[in-house]
Amino acid sequence: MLRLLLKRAVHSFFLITAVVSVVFLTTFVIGDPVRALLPAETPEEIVEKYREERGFNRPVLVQYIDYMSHAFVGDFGDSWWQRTPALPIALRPLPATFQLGILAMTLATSLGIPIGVYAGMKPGSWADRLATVTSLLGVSMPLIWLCPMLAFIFAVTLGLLPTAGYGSWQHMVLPTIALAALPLGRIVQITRASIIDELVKQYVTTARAKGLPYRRVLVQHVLRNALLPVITVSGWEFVLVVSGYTIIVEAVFGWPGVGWMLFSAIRIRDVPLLAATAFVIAVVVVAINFAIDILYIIVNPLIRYE
Amino acid sequence: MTTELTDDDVTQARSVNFRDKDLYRLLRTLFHDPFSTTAAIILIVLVIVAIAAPVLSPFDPTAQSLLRRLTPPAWVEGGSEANLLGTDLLGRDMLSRIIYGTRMSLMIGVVVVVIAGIIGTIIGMLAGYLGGRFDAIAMRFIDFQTAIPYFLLAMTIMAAIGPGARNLIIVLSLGSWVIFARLARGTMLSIRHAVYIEAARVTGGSEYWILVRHALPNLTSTIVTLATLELSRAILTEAGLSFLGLGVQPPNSAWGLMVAEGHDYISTANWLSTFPGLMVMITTLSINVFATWLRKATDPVQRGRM
Amino acid sequence: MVSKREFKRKAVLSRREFLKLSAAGGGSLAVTSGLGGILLARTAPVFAQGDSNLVAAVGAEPPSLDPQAIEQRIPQMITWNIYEPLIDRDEQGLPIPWLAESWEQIDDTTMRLKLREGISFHNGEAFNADAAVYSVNRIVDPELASQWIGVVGTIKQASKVDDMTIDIETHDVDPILLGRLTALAMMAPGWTQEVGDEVSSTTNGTGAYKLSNWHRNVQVELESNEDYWGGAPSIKSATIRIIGEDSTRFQSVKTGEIDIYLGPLPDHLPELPKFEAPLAQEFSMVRLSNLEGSRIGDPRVRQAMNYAVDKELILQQLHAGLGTVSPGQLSAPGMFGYNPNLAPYPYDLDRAKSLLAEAGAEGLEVDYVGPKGRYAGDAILNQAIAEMLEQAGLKVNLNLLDPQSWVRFGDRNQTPVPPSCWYLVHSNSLFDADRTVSSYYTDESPFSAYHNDEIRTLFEAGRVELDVAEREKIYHRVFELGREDPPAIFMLQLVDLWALTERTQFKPRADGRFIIRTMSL
Repeated sequence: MLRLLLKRAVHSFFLITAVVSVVFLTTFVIGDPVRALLPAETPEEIVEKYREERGFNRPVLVQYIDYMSHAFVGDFGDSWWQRTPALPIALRPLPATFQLGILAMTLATSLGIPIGVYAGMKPGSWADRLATVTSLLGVSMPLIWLCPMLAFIFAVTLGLLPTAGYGSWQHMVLPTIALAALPLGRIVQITRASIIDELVKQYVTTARAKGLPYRRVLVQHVLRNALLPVITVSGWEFVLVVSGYTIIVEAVFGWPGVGWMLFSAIRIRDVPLLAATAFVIAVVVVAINFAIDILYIIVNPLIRYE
Repeated sequence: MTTELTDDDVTQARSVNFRDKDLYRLLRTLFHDPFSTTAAIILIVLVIVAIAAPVLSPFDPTAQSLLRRLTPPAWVEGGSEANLLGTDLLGRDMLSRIIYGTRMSLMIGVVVVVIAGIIGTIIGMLAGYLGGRFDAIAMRFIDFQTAIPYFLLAMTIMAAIGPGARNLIIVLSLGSWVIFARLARGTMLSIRHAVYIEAARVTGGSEYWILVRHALPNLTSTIVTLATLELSRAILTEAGLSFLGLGVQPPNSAWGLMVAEGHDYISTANWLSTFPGLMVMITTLSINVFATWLRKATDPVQRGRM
Repeated sequence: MVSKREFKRKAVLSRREFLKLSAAGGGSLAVTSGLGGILLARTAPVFAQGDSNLVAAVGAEPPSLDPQAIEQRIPQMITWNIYEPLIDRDEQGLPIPWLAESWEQIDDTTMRLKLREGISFHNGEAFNADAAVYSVNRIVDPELASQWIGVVGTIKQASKVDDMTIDIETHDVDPILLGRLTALAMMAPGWTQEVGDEVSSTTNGTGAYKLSNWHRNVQVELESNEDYWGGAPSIKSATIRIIGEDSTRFQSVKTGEIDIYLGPLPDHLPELPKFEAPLAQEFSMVRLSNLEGSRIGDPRVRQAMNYAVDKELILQQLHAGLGTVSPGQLSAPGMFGYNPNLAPYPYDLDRAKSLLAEAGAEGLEVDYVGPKGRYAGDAILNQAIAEMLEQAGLKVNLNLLDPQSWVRFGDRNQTPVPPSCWYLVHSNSLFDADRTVSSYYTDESPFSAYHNDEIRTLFEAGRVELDVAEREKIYHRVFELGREDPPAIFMLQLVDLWALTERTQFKPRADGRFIIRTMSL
């Protein structure tokens, strides 16, 4: 098991390195970092002097190594926009994203798993139909349509909630629903499929034949086994929520989380802030994957003894 | 590996000969399922619209008319029949823009899937068939790339290399090929030692012939199903990137772009965002419904259940 | 395998399982929602409302509250309530004494200012010559890399004469030094040196308000300075909320959650409770290049482009009719150097076409670079302008870029051969033609793409002319010449659009500054 964790750690290291490297490399394509730091009217000689002083005319490889070595101790330089260290700025919106993310995942799992289980157990029932529709909708849902629609129906037409913003529980409702939509679809889909797959396995029939009460069979064995892939998928969805869906949802609802910070950094071409934010998101992704692995090992006894 | 004939081998062997008779049966199963039929019809309509856009579109999508800007759809008070779905911020006809948007989104999606599909399948097949070093390296790389939060990187790269349809296709293809590769490799591994392959080898067939004549047709159904799913994913991602301003650029028409333009007008002119967003939704939903049917229909095990 | 009938029969028993599961699910949902609410409450700020608390909204977090480092609109909305300059402007935009009581020009490049007595900074430090000298020298120090350098860069240094008198030296003769000083915030030397980097997140000025709290990404809170030398203000506290979405700001002002914000969409105006739209010193224009390598060097082409754009229509449709069409110059009444005898270019598509034909430029391909997201509605506006140019027969390669890239194309240091057309809004906070002419009527600034020998000579003369009447005549002539050999498509003089609630009494200043002390509820 230790080997597994070690492998995971190495893998994570490379992942974070890859993400930060891509961002660094794009610096050279985006434009002159020196010019972005100084006011527009600065005369050419001062720009050149600045360039030399800060080491911007060293070979790319040297700059890269220097950059990466700083990055791994959390030094991404100063944000070009705020002129203070980039990493603290990138970390600040993280709680806001987690507020939405955790709430959304809770909603998705607490609704999705029961529906999926019931659908899997009673094929052809209303639950099965609901499950199919939910998972199809969830998987095909464009957030860029869902978010404005939610805003239009609940905020503009019904006037119950604000269209966007941050600060009270009312502001949280719509973004959470939007964020939960896709994971809900996937979780229903995987739970249902997983339950179906479990129920037709030999041991279920055997247990029934032996006279064990169905309830016990269900809870102790079927559910436990069926939920394993559900945990994995939920973990993946959480990763997607934090590193993908949240970007659009935060952009539409003006929710100041890391997704919004990433988008803002890209928009104003603040490369240190962009790198720091991408780093933060990559670390979160890695952490969630790690947690899922641990959870999986705890729940699945087979792996423990490998 | 075992040389006993198993059920799988037989069904595999049977499905290798994918002839017209099966196609007829396939279509019949389609018509028995109203949802899938509807989805298929919608998709055909979309393809026709995309191809025949210049003919079907009532106006030039770039034709501005400042005096007629923000006209609501025809059925709302203030709307006119000339602009069935209303006009946008510059007085351009919404219906025309949506039609051309269909062309743009479908074109980008199809090109991405074709490129990623071809490259991914070839690499995956080779990895699965050849095994050894090549496979190990390829697998490591594929696993790694699938773990990276791709939307984040796609945003950064698009911002760096410049937005636009051509770069979008490149970036989306780079993100998509790994999915095909993984599937191709997986399928390849499972049939590599199948009896009929052994038989072909024993009777003196060259590697190439084996791959093309036997492996490839087997792969086709799964790849095609995956391709449809990836198509919907590509369209969703393109819409998301265009919405953020990092995809298709004005004055071109793309659904994501149109949703972004209407973003500030949710309360006063919601048709700007609603209709393009709805198009994305309908398109991806139809593709996914169709893909679900396709998977059930082409999987010999499942087909029995239909 | 279990048969379907058996399956269903067994499933009935599992309803309790299902109920248990959903009860658990619903329970966890409730718990986590509660948790979420608690989490939110812990981190959310308090939103005060009330008769003497003004709530304003801005679209982005201010990057810094250092009044000398950053020159952006949003931070200035906050900092000019906390910090003050030596010279301020009156309603017409003319310089009036503020922290400096009086001044005299003692030689060509030196001005002596006498400071107002009895003023201290919020932390108790006295405002005196040491503070003034420190402030002036700080802003022109290259180490600071101040974004104000374009405005105050002519200043060489300040020196102390006595406790309440200072001398300011400029590099060359500078007829608009007073105007420049309105942009120079006075800071306390002791405090500024002590806090170091914190200067961007804490404040210490002489103004009517102090910073009481800065809740990052959420809001900035100000409280009144009861000891303010000009008398305590009527509004006792102010909250500047950061609301990124325009639709949210729009809704909030309708419900009264916020009292005021800058920049509502012109299309939203009919639904606002109240709004103010004073003319600003902002001129939208499409900069045209006539430098080497330009395809539109022929003045007739550039004149044609001016005839081709229907500015009235754009004004009515995209700006809700607020603003005025620029009369053939980048200037307006109230700005020094404005030529009242020039008329705007009318919309005349036929004239445009015939001029293009004359110059042999039908079907000419021109590069047009515009910003996307730099100004309100800029993408839409530029598409409209490009379309109008195409109707006149030009082939426009429209490129709408993010603000960083767009700036790069306008800066000749980064793009040596400028694009034919480059859209921007010229902001002239100095109320003086020199800024405009140096930026766009000559090739002096890296952001200009135009050269005209006659104008150049006049410009240099105007720079050093201290006789006001003579100077005015020079600029009149510059603008006259500039109309016939256009450095730009002259678009509109824009307004500052303020959305207000009924209760907010706000009389906007000529220079567009947001000064809470002059407002009431």
